[in-house]
Amino acid sequence: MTAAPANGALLTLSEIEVTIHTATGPVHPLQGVDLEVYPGETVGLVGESGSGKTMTLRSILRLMPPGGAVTGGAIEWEGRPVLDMDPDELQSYRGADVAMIYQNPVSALDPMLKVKRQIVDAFEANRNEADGDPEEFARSTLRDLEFGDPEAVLRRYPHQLSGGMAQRVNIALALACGPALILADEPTTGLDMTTQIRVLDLLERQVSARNAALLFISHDLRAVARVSRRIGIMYAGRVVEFGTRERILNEPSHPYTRALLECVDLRTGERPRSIPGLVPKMTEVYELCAFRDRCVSRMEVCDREPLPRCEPDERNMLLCHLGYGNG
Amino acid sequence: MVLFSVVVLSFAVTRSTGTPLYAALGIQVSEEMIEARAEMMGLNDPIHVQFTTYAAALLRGDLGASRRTFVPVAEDIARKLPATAELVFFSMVVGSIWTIPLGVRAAMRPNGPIGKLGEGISQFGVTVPAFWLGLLLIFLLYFLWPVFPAPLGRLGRGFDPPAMVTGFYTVDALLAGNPALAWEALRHLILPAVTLGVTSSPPMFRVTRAAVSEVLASPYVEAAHSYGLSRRKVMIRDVFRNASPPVLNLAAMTFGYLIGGAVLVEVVFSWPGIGSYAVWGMEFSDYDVVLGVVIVSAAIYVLLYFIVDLLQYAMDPRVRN
Amino acid sequence: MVTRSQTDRSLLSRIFVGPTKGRTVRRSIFFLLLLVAVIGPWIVTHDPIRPDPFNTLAPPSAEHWFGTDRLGLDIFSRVVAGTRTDFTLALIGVLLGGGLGSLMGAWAAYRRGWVDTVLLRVVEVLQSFPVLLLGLALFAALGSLDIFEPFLFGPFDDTGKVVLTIAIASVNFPSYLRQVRSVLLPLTDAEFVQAAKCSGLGGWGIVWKHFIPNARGQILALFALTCAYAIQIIAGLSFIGLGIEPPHPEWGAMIREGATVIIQGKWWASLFPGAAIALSVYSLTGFSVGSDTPIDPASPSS
Repeated sequence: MTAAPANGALLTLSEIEVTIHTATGPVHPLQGVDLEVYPGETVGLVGESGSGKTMTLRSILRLMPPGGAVTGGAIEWEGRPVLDMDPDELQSYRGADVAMIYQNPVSALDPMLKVKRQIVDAFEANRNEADGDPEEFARSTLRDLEFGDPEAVLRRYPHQLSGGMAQRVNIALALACGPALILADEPTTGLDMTTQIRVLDLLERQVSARNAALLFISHDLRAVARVSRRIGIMYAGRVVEFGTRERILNEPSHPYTRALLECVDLRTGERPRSIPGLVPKMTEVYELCAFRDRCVSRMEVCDREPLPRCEPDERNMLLCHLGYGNG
Repeated sequence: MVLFSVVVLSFAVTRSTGTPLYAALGIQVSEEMIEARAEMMGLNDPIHVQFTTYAAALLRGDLGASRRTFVPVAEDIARKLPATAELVFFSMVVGSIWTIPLGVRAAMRPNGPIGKLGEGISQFGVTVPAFWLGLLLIFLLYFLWPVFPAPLGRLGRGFDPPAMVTGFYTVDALLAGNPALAWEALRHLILPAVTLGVTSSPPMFRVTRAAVSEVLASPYVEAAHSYGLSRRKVMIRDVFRNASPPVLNLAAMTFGYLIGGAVLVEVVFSWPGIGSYAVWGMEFSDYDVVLGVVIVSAAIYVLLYFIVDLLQYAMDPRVRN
Repeated sequence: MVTRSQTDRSLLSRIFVGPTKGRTVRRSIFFLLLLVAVIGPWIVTHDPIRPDPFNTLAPPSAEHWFGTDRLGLDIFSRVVAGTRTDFTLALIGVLLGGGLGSLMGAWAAYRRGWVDTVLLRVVEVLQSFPVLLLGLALFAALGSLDIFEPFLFGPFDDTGKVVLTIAIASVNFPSYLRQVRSVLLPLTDAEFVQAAKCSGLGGWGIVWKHFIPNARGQILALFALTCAYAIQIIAGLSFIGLGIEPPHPEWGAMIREGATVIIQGKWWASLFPGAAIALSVYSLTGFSVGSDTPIDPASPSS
């Protein structure tokens, strides 16, 4: 466990471990996640499915699936330990400090309630009268999110919205909470290509217009690269490389990052290739590098010693025996 | 449509059997008397004529008359229906009192003691035949430890029914300003209502538990928590609202089950409702009585479904589309 | 009334599904009861239908383990003999109604169109009768008929038993029809069915060779549940005086006998047969598959 950083970070995750007890035995989706988010910045997390991206977001809000618990590490919000919050503190932290946008936009909306009620409730749960009229807020936010007729949308039920509309309503819901950090869990996955780009741009614009930070996860490196200033690469429940967008895209250090970049060539947009080998099973706890079976630069030390952590400065981090500057 | 088929089927089924007047009138009647009675009741007409007569009468609310007492069946049923309604209603209350809180709790804490208790009660209610449970309760709480009055109807000796307003003795007695009578009616009601309530409600427990746990695991409930809504608010706004349509739907099905179960419980407790009326009719091969009860209860069942469909429509915006 | 068809099976399975734990115990009890049903005549201590007029309403003793009833019949022997009666009738009734229902359900799923519509209507009508009242109506109609006389043999030595079996069958017919139909409906367009059609297999051939095997898991799961329910219906109808009449040993009829004396504190005459019903139902829940457990659709075999 590391001490609380006095570096002005909004959110700090250190060595987060999550264990879920299932009928078939324990699963360890997070095995020591380190992550920092600074005020107002946009951070992207990339990884294959099962790498622990969504679980990372859920652990930040302490929303664990049944049988799941954060079993190690620390989460700090503006220096306050999130894992020690009592239910009241937790309730005011959720929403007002950190709000989340979900992957499947329609199912994240209560099917029995009109859009208006949902936005107004989110607004009222986190703000007071000084923040203005909730309905007026709902209307103007929907307008900001490029709804032609906000009034009509407010009167609709979730099943009457298209995927793109529902995702924009989800964004409005998160914005209604007035958070300093928005978590976005693959917010564009279910949408078609053109809608994806539009929703992504809207999200980025609205978040920065409100001076909020954004933690955005996706399996799609292109989507992440489009909106994020800093990018983290997740593999087998850990962030294996973290750095500025330029550094990750131009000088990747981790062999997995390089492999990912080769899969999706950002310049040509060629057909994606796949990384040989299998995604590791999360029923195991990996003391050594979990990627070494698929790694092209595997060394003898990889099979012997746990991963060293290289942290040249506050904004870059690497978990690999190769170290920086080997490219 | 369904109702019409029910009528046709029940009629066909009960009338397909010769002239059952011997049984109804007893054996000490002469051939001529039976013949006269049959002629009078139209039993000698061809079957389709009989049916047309019956159906036409049915449309006027006439269900024929008892072949034994000659009292119109509709009249008898109207007099006896409130007793069954009161029993079924209170059974529903007994059922809901334990199933809904325990089902919700069991969904929230699947392995908690409350969940296990609920599972235990429902296992018991399912396994035990209603009429047998009634008898056991009578033995324990009337014979061994006389907490409740003799299982003989709705009121004890020396009590007159209250003036009819709703037909529920408990309610009518209170309306008439007679709490002693209401207490007496309630004391007679408790054992049959508990018997019927416990044996008919296990599905309610299971559906409540399943519906609530399904909603609790849904993304929109997690999302509601993530917006910082209070647990209470999420429970009321999202969980109860979304879990209620299946529970309501099952409640309607339970009602049908209750009407059937009421037949048995009414017999055990000599409850003067339509269930024991049907059994009485059966004993004397008084088929218009049986037919009347069957049609009325099927009609109530269908009506209930209609109401539940309307409620679903009102509650769930997805149904409206 | 779409809602009803959707909840149909789930209601029944929710009534009788027990916890997964203790399944082995319940199954063992069931096989024990089954054994009792088979070897009943050899383990009874008294003739279950021969009264002992000098020993009526005797409490349980070394001579009469469960006591005797109003006529002086030995209750233990009657409970044992009743196992065979109740199990046989439930089994035959469910097999009859379930078999017919499954076939019709498969046919409805295969033919769709008007066949499907008509069958669904029939089922809907049958299901809008409360179960016991349906039984009552059937007895009103068939109870006094003598057309069954020539068919009375084996377990059906009594018109009441025949009608009881018909009642159980009519209660089960709709459940199976609906269940099988809902499982198979999505399969009508499946490739292997199309392939079978192309290879010239007729309608019933497809139903028999492809549909039924695919619904097998569902049918079996429903089977235990409906048998449990059938035992309760048989006992219930006999309790109100329909179906099996004394002195035939049947649990519901025995409880009816005992009911008249329980107010006088003679509990044994109704306690033991009731416990036998409860035990049978309980043991049968050991075979039910929880409605939450997905049933593995059997691979298309031929």
